[in-house]
Amino acid sequence: MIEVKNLSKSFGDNLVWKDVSLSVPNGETLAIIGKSGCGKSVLMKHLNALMKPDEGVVLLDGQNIFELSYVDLRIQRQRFGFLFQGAALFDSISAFENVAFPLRYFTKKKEDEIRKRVLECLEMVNLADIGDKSTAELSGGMRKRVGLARAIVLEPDYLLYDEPTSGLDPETSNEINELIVHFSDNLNITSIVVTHDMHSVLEIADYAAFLDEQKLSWHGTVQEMTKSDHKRLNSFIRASEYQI
Amino acid sequence: MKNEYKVGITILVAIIVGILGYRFMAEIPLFSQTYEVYADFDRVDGVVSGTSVFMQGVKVGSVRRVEFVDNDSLRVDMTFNMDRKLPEGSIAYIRTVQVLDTAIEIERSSSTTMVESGGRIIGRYDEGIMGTVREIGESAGRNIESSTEKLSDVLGRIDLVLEEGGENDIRQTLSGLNNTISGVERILDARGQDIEDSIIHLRNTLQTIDGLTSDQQEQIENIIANLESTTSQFDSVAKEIDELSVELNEVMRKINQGDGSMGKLINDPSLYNNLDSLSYNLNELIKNINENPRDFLKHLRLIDIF
Amino acid sequence: MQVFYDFGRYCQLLYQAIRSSSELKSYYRNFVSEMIKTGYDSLPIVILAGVFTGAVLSIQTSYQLVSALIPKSTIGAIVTQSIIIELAAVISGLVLAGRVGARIATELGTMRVSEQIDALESMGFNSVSFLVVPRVLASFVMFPVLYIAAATTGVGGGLLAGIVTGQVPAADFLLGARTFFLPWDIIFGMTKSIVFGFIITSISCYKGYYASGGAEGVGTATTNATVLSCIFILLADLMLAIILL
Repeated sequence: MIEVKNLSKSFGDNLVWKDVSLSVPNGETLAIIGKSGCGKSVLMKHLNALMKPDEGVVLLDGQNIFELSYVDLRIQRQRFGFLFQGAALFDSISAFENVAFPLRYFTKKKEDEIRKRVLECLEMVNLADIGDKSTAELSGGMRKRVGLARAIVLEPDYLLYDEPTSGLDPETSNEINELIVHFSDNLNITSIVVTHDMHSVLEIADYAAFLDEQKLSWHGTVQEMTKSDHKRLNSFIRASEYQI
Repeated sequence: MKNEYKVGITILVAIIVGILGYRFMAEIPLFSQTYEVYADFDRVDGVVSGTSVFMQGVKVGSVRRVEFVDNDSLRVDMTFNMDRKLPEGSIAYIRTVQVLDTAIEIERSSSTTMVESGGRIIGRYDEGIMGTVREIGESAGRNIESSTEKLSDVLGRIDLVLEEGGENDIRQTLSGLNNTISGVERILDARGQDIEDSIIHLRNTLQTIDGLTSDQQEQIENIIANLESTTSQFDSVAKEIDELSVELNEVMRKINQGDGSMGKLINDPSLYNNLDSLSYNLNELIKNINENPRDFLKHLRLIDIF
Repeated sequence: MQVFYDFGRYCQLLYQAIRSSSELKSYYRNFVSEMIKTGYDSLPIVILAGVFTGAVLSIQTSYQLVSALIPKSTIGAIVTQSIIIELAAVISGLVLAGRVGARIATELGTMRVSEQIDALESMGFNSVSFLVVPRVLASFVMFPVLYIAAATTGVGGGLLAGIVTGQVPAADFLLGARTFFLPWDIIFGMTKSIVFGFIITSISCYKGYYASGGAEGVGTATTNATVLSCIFILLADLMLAIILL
């Protein structure tokens, strides 16, 4: 269970947002939505302490992750899978090695066990035949999926998706959405998705949080969101619908 | 694993190249065991690690290290890059070469036992060319000094000789010499005629002998006896001439070498100059006396008064 | 103020790097690949720089020392000593500031702007240690190797140039080189090269690690890393000369 309480962040004199509080129950999926540059990704990077807030706490199973020692924090971080916007694959090693990377450093698995687990994860993201391709040879959608395979390889409790469908064609976007739903339902993973794609929000999320005007403007379930009379939220949703 | 091989080989090659390069630069034989000996010195002006070691003019090694040992003497470790070993009792001299540079020169002893690596040879501090030059300079200075002393001594004596009327002696010697020579000439002149006569006489005698008969044997014997006595007379004359010429030679040699007052007079220009100036001074004096007799008379008068 | 901020953050980076040095095992793979990139791959350029530095030094020194009073062996002594004490370390340092420094800054900068560093962190790595320690350690091992390469090829190049141009006979060159050869000079030069290696890798890591602003940011970081490395190499050279000589 992740709880965010009274979180505030600013870069220099620029306030990103302040007083953000929300929580995600285990096994559920939260979508953080909002305009570009409203600080969605920044908020998500606070969840596993990649960034430190000016004020407030993030409670992971009741423990403030910003008060953890660096060693403990790194252990806690291994409970998170993180799919970055650009997939953030290590470009000096092959796609296969990217997925195997955490296994090599954080487990004592033998080579054949690692191979088995990597292939398993690649199969889950429908890339079983990726082989030893270098990351440069992969398309955007494939990179995202390799990143996803890498994020789940250590069997995390939480998965953080930063714009999982941005820059992808609708079909590939759908594939990714299906994968997110699949992981959430079958692996009992708590997911937090940063996106401005309302289409995928409706498909994958149980909860939604709307960042606007430098604060958490609205949050609730997705069903509530569609019926909400929040002015700016409605205009945000409608803008998305026009796009479709 | 391929990367590990590359790294390993790179580092290994670098270490080997580094060690070989060092040994090459420090003139340690690249592969073989080094030959090292040391020597103790009281002082090692200018000898540092890297100073060259020469033997018979050839560079055979270099100084590895200079360090103090307990009794305040300095130990110089030398490494050699030659095949042979040094004999026991070889001496290492520290020398200044080319005015400023210092080197160690090994002088091998004739011993047949060799110094093993790590052994000791004798160390000696040598002031080198500069020292030698100074030594030569010192002894040369002493020589010149004594020479000068002797010279002035000789000159003093000559002065003395001259003062004591030696001039007359010299004149007498010369005239004596002249007489002797003319005497010899005279003897030769006079006896020459005698000799000629004797030879003619001899010829006649021989002719007479030819015409003689055996009964005149006794007479012939007498003649021979006379002849013998004549010959012995010849001998003594010749001897006299010999002695005379030897004496003459001796006199001439002495004159030439400058021994004796005569020789000095002939050979020493300074003496001549002195004499010259002496006579000039005398002339001056006499001229002065002639021109200003009063000055001298004044003195005479003073003397008279006392 | 920016200078102090940078210096503080630089020190912090180094502190973070050594903070989890207990995980050395996990850096091994990176360490080896960094040694390849820093050392093995840099050998050609360093050897090239060494040969040409030695050759130019030899030719120019013999051009300058034309007096009949100065023996030819002096040229060998000057060339060899200059290379061993100063040029092998500094020239290779400056060349490597361009080659190694730029590569590290670009690598880390790209990792930063493409969120690979965040990815490392989010996986539970100490990204600073993971990225900085192997690079700095690799430089400690490889810079002396490169120094040896530069020094030997530099002296060799000087010797060769002397022979080829006919200015310095080999025997004279070697006589001079050996007469004034001191083992301490090698230690001094090697110390320099290690210090330069640290300067190049740590500054480049710092600049790359804190790069920001996309491709342009990476470019800026790379330029800064190279320029700063060169400046600090020259400063360190002076400092070491004052301290150690």
